[in-house]
Amino acid sequence: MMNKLLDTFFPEGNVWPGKGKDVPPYIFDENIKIAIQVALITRRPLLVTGAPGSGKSTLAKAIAEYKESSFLSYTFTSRSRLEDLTGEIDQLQRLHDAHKVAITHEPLMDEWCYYKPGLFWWGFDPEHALRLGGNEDQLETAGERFRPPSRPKNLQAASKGVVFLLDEIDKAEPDLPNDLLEPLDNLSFQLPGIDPVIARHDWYLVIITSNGERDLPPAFIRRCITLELPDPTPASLINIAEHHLQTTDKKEKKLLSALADKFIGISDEAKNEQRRQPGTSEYLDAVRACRVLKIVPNEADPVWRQIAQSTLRKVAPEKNEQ
Amino acid sequence: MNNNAKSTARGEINLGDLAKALSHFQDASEKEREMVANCLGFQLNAPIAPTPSRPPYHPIQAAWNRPLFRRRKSTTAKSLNYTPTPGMPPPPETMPEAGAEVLPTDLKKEHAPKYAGPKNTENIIRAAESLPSITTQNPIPRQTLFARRTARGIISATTMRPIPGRDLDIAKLVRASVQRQYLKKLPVLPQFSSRNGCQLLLDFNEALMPWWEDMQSLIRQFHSVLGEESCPVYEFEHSPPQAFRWTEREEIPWQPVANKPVVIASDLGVMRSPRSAPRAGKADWLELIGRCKRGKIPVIVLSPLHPQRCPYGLDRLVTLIHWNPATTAAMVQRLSVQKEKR
Repeated sequence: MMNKLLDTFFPEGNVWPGKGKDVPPYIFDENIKIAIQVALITRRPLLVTGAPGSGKSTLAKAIAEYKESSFLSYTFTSRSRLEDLTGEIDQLQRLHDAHKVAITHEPLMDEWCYYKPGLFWWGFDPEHALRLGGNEDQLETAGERFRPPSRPKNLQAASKGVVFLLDEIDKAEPDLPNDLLEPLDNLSFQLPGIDPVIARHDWYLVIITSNGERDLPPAFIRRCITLELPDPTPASLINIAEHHLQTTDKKEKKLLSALADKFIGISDEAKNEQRRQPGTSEYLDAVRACRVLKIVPNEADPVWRQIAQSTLRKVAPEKNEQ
Repeated sequence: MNNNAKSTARGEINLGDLAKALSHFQDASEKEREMVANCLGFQLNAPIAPTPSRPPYHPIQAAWNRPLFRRRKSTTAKSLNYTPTPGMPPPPETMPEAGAEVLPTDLKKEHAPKYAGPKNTENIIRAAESLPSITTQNPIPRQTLFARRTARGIISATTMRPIPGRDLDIAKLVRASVQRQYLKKLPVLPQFSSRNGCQLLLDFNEALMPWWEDMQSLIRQFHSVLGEESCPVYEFEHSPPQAFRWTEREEIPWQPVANKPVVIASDLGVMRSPRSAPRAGKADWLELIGRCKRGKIPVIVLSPLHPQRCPYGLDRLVTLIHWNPATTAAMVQRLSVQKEKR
């Protein structure tokens, strides 16, 4: 079953052209393919690192779209907690109902009725999440007052697999990655007062991204499959841009090539000055700007200098002039 | 990924994972197999640096950490000239001699022959040339003052501050409800977080030259846990309130920032500099502490010296942590809690 899944996991030609506006075309190179296959075989999360704009988050979206699977994403902040991903009780709603009970004299609903399902709950077992973990008898007792939670928009009812995107984990508290180990290892978790939530789908792919702003705990890294997206080369940039623009025009190909050379020059310059290097998405911004304004990279042209400044260099002008 | 089978907790990535993955890549090339191993963290070609073992726990560490401190019994033998107590037997009148006997031998004593210099210097030079060059060997990794294994926990414990959490304080809520008090906001339980980061102040006085490299390691350790943006690094040579940091354009003087603890790596001016350069006096430290206290900002000092050598009175105003491989996160947490209670 696994072999069959792996054989059909990537689109033809290893390029996903993208269906809607949300997901741009994505090229699955050999590194990415192997890392995803290993993550699926070993049932481990895939930790993707790389420069900003290198396509870490888009990778998850592209796979979910191609496989027509559920896509559940969460972006970490410094306030994120494990309960945001598993589930927590809505104490405010419960307090509100407790005040109403004093007027209506009806009994207050059980605590489990106030759960707010998190991302993992929806992904592992959507039916369980809709019932908030209650069985038929409990739901009957709760009656009409029971409020079923609203399903996430990207949760597909008929999909066989789920793609989770846990974005920018390096923004979270230093200890939070360790809290994730148990639900990700077991593909299940336990909340008080209800049955354990266990993963029901055929396959799961958990993609965790990091910009490397801070190191992750070693225990967490030792449980992840790692994939580092390399810095772009001129050939890879041109290839990506061709798929994005879907062009075969020779003039445009020349423009892409010239811009890729400029990109590499600016990137090296930033590296030497220990500044942030531009990413693939910024190269695409420059390409789009040059196409619309119909200009070619030329240092004598003030418009090009402005485009390079605002899309690729992004350093304050005073610094640039010094 | 079939989940019909019972899922059980699994540990870290192991050889079983590698074998399982490689079994799916039967026809793969050598390069592809290497890529699979790399994904799983088996970087077979990478040189393996020796990891320093954890330093042993020193009892001296307990001396400054008062809850742990227990006076140890002396293990040295008592003198025989002490005054015997009534219950004790008297000492023996003649003591047995403890001298060593010289064993009989037929060997004759002779002087060693005088050294006549190297007979064949060429052989010696050739032998020396055949020795591996020192520069080609891997350098011995420098051990950091906070051990690599524990640094993460220590830094988290050092910079964690109580912030309003998201869990309701039910006890407070019930009390307010029973007493019919109106609540302006929901009472929540505090949670400890290091999301505010910290300001790291480093004392680069000449007196602390032996620790300059350790301070560079400390910056790396703090940045790896808190991130560069939430942990700006300032330096000072003489007066701590005049600490500054460099950006691409300008020099930024240190200023206390609300809710951002100040962590200082210094000996608090205890050691003398080799050329008698001026050092921060108690007044300088009190000025810095005073500025922080006004903003209710905690001051934490990482001292490479024993905390008992802290200038009198300063130890009560700051949280003093021994910057030493034997320090643990639990010790730091205990110190912080004690400080909060005061």
